[in-house]
Amino acid sequence: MRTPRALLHAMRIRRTHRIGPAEAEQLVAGDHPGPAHTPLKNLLDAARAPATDQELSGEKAVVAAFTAHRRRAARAARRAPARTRTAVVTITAGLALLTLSGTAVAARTGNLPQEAQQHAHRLFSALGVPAPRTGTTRAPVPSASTAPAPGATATPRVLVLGWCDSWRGATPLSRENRRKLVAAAGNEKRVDRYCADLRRSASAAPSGSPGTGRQGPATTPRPVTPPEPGVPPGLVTPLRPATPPGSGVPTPPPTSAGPAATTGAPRAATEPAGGPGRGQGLGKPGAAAHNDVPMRAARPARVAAASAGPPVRSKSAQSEPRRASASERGSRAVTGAMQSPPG
Amino acid sequence: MRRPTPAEHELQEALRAAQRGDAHGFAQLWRTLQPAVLRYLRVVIGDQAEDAASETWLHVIRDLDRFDGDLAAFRGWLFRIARHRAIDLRRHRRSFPWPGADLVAPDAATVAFERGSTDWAVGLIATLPADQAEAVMLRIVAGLDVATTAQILGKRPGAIRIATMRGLRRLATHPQVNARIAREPAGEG
Repeated sequence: MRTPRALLHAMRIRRTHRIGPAEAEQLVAGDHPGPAHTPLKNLLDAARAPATDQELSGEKAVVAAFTAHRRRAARAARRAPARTRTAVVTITAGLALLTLSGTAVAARTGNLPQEAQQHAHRLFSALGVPAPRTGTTRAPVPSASTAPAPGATATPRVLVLGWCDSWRGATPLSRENRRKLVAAAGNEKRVDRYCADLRRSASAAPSGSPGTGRQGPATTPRPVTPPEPGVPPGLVTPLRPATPPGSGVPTPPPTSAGPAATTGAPRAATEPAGGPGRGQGLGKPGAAAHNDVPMRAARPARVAAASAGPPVRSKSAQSEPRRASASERGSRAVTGAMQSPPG
Repeated sequence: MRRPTPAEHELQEALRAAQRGDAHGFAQLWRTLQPAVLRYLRVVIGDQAEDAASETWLHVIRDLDRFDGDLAAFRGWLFRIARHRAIDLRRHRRSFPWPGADLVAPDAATVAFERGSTDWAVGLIATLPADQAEAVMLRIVAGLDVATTAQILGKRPGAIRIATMRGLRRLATHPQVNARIAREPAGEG
């Protein structure tokens, strides 16, 4: 009996204290839902009572932290321009590096404008920067590689062959041209071999285009034909006095090219053979120029002399025409060079 | 608290000033909101509430210039930070436990009964299940609306309403509530 009454009592209590959604929202809003909920209302009001002194005891510390942080932030903001400056410097340096390396690559591959390439060549020929391409052909300059590439124009080869002669000591070689020659050959020890290769290729292509020059003497048995009516054959190919002019090239390899090319012998070993070989080597490109494209060959010769200017033109190159003036066609340096060894 | 009162307007101005770096504005903001933060944190992690509140305000100081919103948004942001700091501290406490750290709620209620009515009320709310206690504190003490509370607790608004109502029901039947009424019939605050 006692139990049901307790249950009833509990139910009544529960009913009176029952809080629905509406009452809950009223209590949340701070309103009084009714006298039955006064105790709860008091509890909630106590929970959201105004601050006590103890709760606000940390104000000084937290405001100090705020001020310190603001000061730090202001200092960091003042330092921000320095960061920007650093970034600008970095970007500028990167762009400069990019430009320089691009120019260097262009110079190394000979792709600069002619004037700039000339400057770069003068300054950095030791690093393998080639001279500017002269003339209208797209052929690479012979100094770009140790062996003249097929299709090289005759005139630079003639120039280089002239330097080769001077290298042997026939005529004084200017420091400028000496450096170019060394740069073209790779290093000093390879100059002889380089010159020998050049001579052999030049003599191997007496009448055809220079592109056949590298095929070697045996593969180009083309007879030499007189280039121009006015030029006697003897003048064009006086290279091998023992062989008649029209007999073709292949028979004996040039005396100087032989040993130097095959064995890489020191300069002293090839020195005695230099005399006749020199004449041979220099004569052929001239002949090729006469035979093949006289205009093209003549024009680059002048262009090279004009554009290369004083630094390119060595003393020997200048002296050759003077000596060549003794010959019939003294206007061509080629013939002059051909004539000079005997004389 | 939820009605736009002159005090609210003033507090909004204080928030703007604090964002500009004004220490007085920040102090006013702190004085107004710190009690609710502290009480809420007391319900969540008991006697480490002071540490959690300090870390909460340091976080607010650090990110205040990046905060963008009105006073209501600031309240929500503030209590979200507080909850996360409390959870971090609780996790830390679990890895470095000390005796009695988890026995806060009943004892705190009893002790608070002898002390001020606010401590008593907060201690009593802390005896509720966690979701109900947090819902009651955020909605009634912090004055947040249902949507913000739901966002902070990661629940749906309906669940927040129900948790609040159940918490209030449970508090209404709590023996200490009626006992205190018997002792202080006039009520408080």
